[in-house]
Amino acid sequence: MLARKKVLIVDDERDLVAPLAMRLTASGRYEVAVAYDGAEGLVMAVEFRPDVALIDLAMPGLDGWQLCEGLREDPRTRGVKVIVMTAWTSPDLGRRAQAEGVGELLLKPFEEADLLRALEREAAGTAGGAA
Amino acid sequence: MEQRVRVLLIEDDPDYTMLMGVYINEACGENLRYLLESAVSLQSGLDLLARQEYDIVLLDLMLPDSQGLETLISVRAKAPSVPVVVLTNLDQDDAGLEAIVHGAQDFLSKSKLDPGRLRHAIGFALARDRLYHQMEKLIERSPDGMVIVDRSRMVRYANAAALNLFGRKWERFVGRLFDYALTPDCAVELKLPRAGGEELIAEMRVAEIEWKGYPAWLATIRDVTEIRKLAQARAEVRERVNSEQLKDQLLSTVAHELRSPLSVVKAVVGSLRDSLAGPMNGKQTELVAIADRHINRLTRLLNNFLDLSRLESRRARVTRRPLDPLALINEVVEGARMANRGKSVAISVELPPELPTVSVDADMVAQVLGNLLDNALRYARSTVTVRALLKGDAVEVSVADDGPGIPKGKSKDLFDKFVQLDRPKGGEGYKGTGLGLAISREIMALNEGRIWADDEPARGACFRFTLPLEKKPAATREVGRHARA
Repeated sequence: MLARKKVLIVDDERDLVAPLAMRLTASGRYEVAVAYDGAEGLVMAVEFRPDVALIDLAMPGLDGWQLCEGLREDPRTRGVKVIVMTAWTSPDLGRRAQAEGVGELLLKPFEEADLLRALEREAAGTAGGAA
Repeated sequence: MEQRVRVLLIEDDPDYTMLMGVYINEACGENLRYLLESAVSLQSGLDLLARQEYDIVLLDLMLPDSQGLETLISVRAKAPSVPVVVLTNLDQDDAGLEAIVHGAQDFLSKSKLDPGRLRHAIGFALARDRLYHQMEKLIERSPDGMVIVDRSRMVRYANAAALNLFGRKWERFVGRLFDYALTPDCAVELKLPRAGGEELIAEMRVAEIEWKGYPAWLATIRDVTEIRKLAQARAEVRERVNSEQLKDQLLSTVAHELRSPLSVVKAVVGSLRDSLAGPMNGKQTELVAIADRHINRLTRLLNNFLDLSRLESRRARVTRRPLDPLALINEVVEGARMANRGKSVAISVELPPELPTVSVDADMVAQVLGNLLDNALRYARSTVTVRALLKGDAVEVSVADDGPGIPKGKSKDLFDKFVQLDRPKGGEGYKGTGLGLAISREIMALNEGRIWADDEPARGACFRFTLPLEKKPAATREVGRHARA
């Protein structure tokens, strides 16, 4: 049996976090932890040691970009793969994402299939939680 | 050439008139001759001035029928353009100076008269008069209106431009009260009524001057109607652009904000649909499928809307690269076939074996072709046909369906925003956003292509768009050939 990858979902929209977490858990392939703002996400990342972080950009306090930066600065979380989700597009979004080392960009609302594919691609390169 | 100066002497003293005749003859020079005529009263002088032209008047102020400055004023009124030199008696310098204030060019003391002084005075008066007229002409011909108003607010002078601006004749303007406030050193805007209810906007500037020895105001008036109208039009345009931008910004914000709750609903409905929260019965599945479809429709609408506003505001980044139109068409058709799997409508492709390279933004053109295929699949009965061929300096791509077609005369309206013709919809209730063709038109404009629909297709609808060919600079190719040789 394949080891389940660890995914941390960080979004202040609790109503989105709940069904996403439900789906990922139900897939049987992921172990899920959640956080509802950037600061909490940073703490959870150190505690939970996810393989992939699914991060919303617009959050109160520490926003998604700052969270990405925080993950990169800490050697314990430096290797976490990042998928960014956002409802806001801007011309420089792609460039910024690339500069911040973001692996995938999901535009809200996204297809569940797209999320699962993105997660699979990102998680493929990681060691895996239980491995 | 000999210069002739016609002199009118108005003098009641016959002895002095005779003396003047002698002096004047002596004053004549090699190229200068004075022609003297004389009158013994003001009235006879005025009669002569009315009948004949003179270059200068020598005027005694003390005449049997008029005394003092009145004499001068009468002569000036009769012949305003003829310079006057006043003849004064002994110790009457003050009177002479006062005469100058009232328009005399100079004064001569009778007792100190000699031929030299006479010639000097006449020459000086003529030169001064010429200068004065030159200046007057300058003012008279000035395109800006000039009005001189004395301290009792009486108009003393107005040039042609001023009369024209105020729409009045000289006699109904000069000598009357000036109706406008006179504020020196600042520009005031005047609204001057015109015939036909129109209004003329003029800018008036006022300076303090001296006019004929008295303090007065010089008002300069310029017609600024056109300038003001232009400025107003410009301000209106700017305001409209601003409010247009504001509206775009607002709509864009709303569209973006709607995406967040929509993503929640989508995720929740998706969880139900996929039975993540327990098994669903048949009716539940049906209802959730309807919700799912409409969530997707709402998503398309928002995305299309944002696409269109980005395209319209020219914020979209266009990356045109040379590419093979056949590869692009095949790729998009393949995608449409995949999405259309299991449906009864087929997509047939009729393409030549080769087409020249075109220069377009591949993603954008793929979106246009995708839109057209999407539309065609919704309306077709059995077949959608994609064709491409070289036409002039572009590749023309067409997407035809065998559906009900476009009503006559409606093919142009289709490309407007939110226009959806009342055509029978495809079976599963898929609804378009009414923005696809508007987006396609914007995209084609950015790619220097055209898009249109045949107005009267024999059967079904047929949409066409053109892809401009890559422009190959001839020089570059020459260099290439040399390098290889």
